[in-house]
Amino acid sequence: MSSNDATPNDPTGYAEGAPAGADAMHQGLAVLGRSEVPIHDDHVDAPSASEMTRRTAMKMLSLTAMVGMVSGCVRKPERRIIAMHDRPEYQQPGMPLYYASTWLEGAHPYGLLVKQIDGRPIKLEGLQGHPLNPGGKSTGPMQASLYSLYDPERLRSPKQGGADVSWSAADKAVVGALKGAQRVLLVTRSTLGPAEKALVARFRKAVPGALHMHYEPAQDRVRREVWKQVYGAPGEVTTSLENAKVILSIDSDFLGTDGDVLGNTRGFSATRDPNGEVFSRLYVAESGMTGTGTSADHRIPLRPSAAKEFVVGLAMALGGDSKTLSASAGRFGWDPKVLEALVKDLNANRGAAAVLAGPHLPAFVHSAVASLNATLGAAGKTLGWNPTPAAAIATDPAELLQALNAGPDVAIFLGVNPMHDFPGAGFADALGKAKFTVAQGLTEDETLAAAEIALPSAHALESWNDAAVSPGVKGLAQPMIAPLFGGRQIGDSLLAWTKALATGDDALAKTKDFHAWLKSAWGLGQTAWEGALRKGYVGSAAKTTLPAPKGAGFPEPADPVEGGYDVVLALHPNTGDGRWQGNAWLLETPETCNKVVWDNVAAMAPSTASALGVEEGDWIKVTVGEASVELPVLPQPGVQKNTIVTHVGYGRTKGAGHGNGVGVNVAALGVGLLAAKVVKASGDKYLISRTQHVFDQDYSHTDTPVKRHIALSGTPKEYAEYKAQPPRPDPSTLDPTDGTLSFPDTQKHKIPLTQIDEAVDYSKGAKWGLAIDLGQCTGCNACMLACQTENNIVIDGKEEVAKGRDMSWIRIDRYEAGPEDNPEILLQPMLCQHCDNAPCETVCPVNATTHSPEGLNEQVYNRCVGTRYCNNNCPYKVRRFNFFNYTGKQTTSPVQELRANPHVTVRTRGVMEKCTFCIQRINAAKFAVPDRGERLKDGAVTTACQQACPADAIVFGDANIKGGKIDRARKSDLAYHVLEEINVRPNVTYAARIRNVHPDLDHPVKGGH
Amino acid sequence: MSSTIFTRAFDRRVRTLLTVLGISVVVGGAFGTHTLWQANMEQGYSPAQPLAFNHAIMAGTHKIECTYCHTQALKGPHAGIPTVADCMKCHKEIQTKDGEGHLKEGLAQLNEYWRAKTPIPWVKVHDLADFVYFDHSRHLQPHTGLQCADCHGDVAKMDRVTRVNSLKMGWCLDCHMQAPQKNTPEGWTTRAPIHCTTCHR
Repeated sequence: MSSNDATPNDPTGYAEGAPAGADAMHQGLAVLGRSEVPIHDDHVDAPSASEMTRRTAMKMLSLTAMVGMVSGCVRKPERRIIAMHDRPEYQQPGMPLYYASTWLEGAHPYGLLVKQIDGRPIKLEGLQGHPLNPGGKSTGPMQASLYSLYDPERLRSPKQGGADVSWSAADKAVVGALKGAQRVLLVTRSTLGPAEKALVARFRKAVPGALHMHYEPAQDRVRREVWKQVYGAPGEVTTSLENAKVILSIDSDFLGTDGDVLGNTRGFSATRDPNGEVFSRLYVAESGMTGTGTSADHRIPLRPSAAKEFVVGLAMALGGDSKTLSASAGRFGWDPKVLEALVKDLNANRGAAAVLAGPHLPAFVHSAVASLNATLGAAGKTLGWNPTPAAAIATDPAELLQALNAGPDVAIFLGVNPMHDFPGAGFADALGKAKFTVAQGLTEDETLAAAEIALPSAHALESWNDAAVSPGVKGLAQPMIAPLFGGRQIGDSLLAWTKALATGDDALAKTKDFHAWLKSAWGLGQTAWEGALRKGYVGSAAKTTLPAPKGAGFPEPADPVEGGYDVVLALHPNTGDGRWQGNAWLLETPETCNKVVWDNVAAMAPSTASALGVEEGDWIKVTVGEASVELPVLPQPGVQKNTIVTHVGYGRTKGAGHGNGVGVNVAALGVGLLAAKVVKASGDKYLISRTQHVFDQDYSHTDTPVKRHIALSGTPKEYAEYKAQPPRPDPSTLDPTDGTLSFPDTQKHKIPLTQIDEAVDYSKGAKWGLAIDLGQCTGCNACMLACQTENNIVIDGKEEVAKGRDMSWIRIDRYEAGPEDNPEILLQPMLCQHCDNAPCETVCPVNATTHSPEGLNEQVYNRCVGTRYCNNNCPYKVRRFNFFNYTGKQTTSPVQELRANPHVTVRTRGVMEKCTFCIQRINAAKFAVPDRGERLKDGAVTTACQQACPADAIVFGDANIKGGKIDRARKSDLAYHVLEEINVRPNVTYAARIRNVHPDLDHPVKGGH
Repeated sequence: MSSTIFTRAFDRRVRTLLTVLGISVVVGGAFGTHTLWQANMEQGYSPAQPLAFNHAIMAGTHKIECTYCHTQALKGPHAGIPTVADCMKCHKEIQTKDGEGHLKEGLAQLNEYWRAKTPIPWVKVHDLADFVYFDHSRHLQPHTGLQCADCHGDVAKMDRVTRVNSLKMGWCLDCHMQAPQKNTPEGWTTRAPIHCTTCHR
């Protein structure tokens, strides 16, 4: 949308110079037929003005009059109340039931707690007490997976040659092809559960010579192979970062996408209290900007192809020879002072340090990191070992290509989509050589569309399964709902085919379905089985130690090409390796640092962009070997020079619903880190939709700089100076006329404001408050997606977001400070502040936003008439307006209606909405105890964002409980309110971030955030 | 695309007609609203039900407690409509016949639903808007002193359930604003809350 459109888009249709009289009436009628939702508007045809006759005009007039007269006399439509024929045990209408399960869509099977109301799963949480996520925490994709369950895009029937067939016909065809087949290729994800693995083994026995391959598009293969050689087993290095005082990440987004992110975040956040026993220091050397990089105390922009020099130099420096490191530092522009501090820190904290390296780095780097960790004594302290990880090492894609090119009789693809995301070229041709192809997936994606037989899969929440959680612990996944579209889980497909092929195996023939197979594989008695189901897992975590690394010779990677470019094909913090590309919630959730939605872009340093002569929205052509793709450019401060960072999985063409045609498919380039040629490409300016652009909260570059209290941070030195000052009162009791003194200011500033409203006494009942610790937030977006699921928040697409109409109730703002090539980024979750002097409340003409006696700023949808005055008067811009009817029949399929949380109103067009502090949860907590007027216990209410937050950065509670969570958070000397000086008295308290910079380097950042 | 469709005389007639129509709509509307508002369309609503069920027999003659069938009223937001299986827990045995030896009408229908394994599509009588979150259990806490009949009328005398109260917001507030104040263990006084998010969220 350009702002200088010549024609005004006049919604009344009476644009300048509109004809008077009858023609105006035609226009008016045409306006009546105008579609209100910009999508799917083809079925509403505006009556053509030239066809209007007197007769039709009279007909319409009389019809309108009749409708008007009749509708005035009719009661609202009759509604039915339909109880079940027979009620399932435990189920009560409108009351939630919770089931334990396991998250199976990733390499780390976290525990799940599924909330089900009236038979529909409507919210997922982490499972309290689970060995992997004991705090009941969850990731964004876990929260968002309900979207995929109720995705109308899902395949609804088995297909053969593109035509619908029955399951038995499809099975007959598959079994017929398998019978007598010489070469059979079975391709699955690398995360099969133990029961599925046993079934695959049984299948291979029934089909002699069948090859089984683990396919993962964005692989951890190189690192896993190195670990296998170095540590002597196909295991996985685990972390115990709660024991770490110094952490170094070499291009590893361990708080966002790399490894056990929930475990990493839990361990890391445990050491991030500046007043705690241990205050760890995080060094991040990275190529792009990630959430981990924003959490760093010292960030070193690293050209990824120079990781070898970095690790080797560091190892030598730890051995006492720092010459190599300083030489490399000079060559690659690393800050020598930061490196010096890093070496000092690592040396001083042997046994409490960990080095992590990103999966895309070359094998040499991983083996060097292994010996570095051995030098630092990380084994048994900060790093552990899982000899039986849930994910097998993925097969080399070259092997898969080779097997296909050999022309197998049958190729079976279960739950994978290599047709879209196979790294490199040649997959489509190779697939054509298979004589008979079978593919099973949730939607009719590229691979299913290319297969002879396409089978609909059941969603993980519709399936039985198990998982190797950690050594000694096995997890169970149970179906929450019968398959919505007649899908069948891949275990059942394998079982059906194996049963038909393995003649003479009575035990197998008697196994009814995968559920029975799983149950017999577990071999538990009925009571123990039910206990396991109730708990979600069995066993307790066994302690395993990281073996001493064996030296292994890995080829040294090539030196960075002078003048060349590095391309990093990274995992997206939301959509991961692309498996959630059909999940529109995840597509509309902004990327952690550049805040781009609905796209993957070529993020590059602003200096690189100007060297290439491109600006935001221009195109570049990235060439690796023979393959090349064109990508839209986004200059992003903090990205390493001569490095392009983009995300995998985008550019779907089939089966991704709203995700089709979103972004660019970069799979053809390969996988991970690549050396590339980059040139400017022609092409129209591309609209990159972002929820937030880069700006400076203090206007420090303008003529009128102002110190604004928005996102605050400081260093330990500043904190010590601040603490030496006289104590500052609790900001919620602060008299604004008295002036404020909040960290990191060391001087009181007077605020010329007075309280004009009558003070309200909130001391009697509850006073709800929320506190966010900026020192903990890693920008993982789990809170945003938890809020979206809990509160029925709609998405509105790329164009609307570009207009600033994103709908999320909680967003994560990003503030940058410091030099453009390596800025300090501060992330700040921003939601309705529930101000006691709320500016929105005073301007609402219909009293649709009011203040509750418990301090909540309430929004009443049924009263709202959509003037949007409140939003205009909100200093935090946290109110969201439904410009279109996103929940109507035109945009929401009936199956998606099942997904809605029945305890939260589904909003229609023309109403304002915003964070309610999860009022439905507050009410549920109140109703759970008898009404004796007693105060709810501290922690009785958990908001959705708080519950999901893996770093425990969010706490919620009753501020009137002395010594309670909120009381403590508000009394912290780092506590402040955003824009305190305008005296709106928010109920959301923030804690300023302390960056634990090394004492040698402790000087404030110029420019402020 | 020009002004040739309507003649000037026709336009005049249309305008007169519209004026008369407009005035009558305004006057009629005001009159209608005035006369119909109190005894509005909601109050007294008594739709025909798909099954000839009689509360007057169940709750009246046999004096069966409301919560015997509406089992969730004390436990959750919805009082709960009994399932067909719930009905059959008694009516497998109780198959009353009329004077001519035929099964009573409602029972015959119930047996049919039971055989067909389908739920009964009852018509909602006490229907609140979707943005209202009413909770039965909260209102039936002992200290409120509320009985089912306070809102639903004396169902025990109704052959066919009729809505006796408007269930409009003003009617709710009549109670909420008068609820007795009482002292609590911590010394604060509570009363039925009247802020918006009590019912709307």
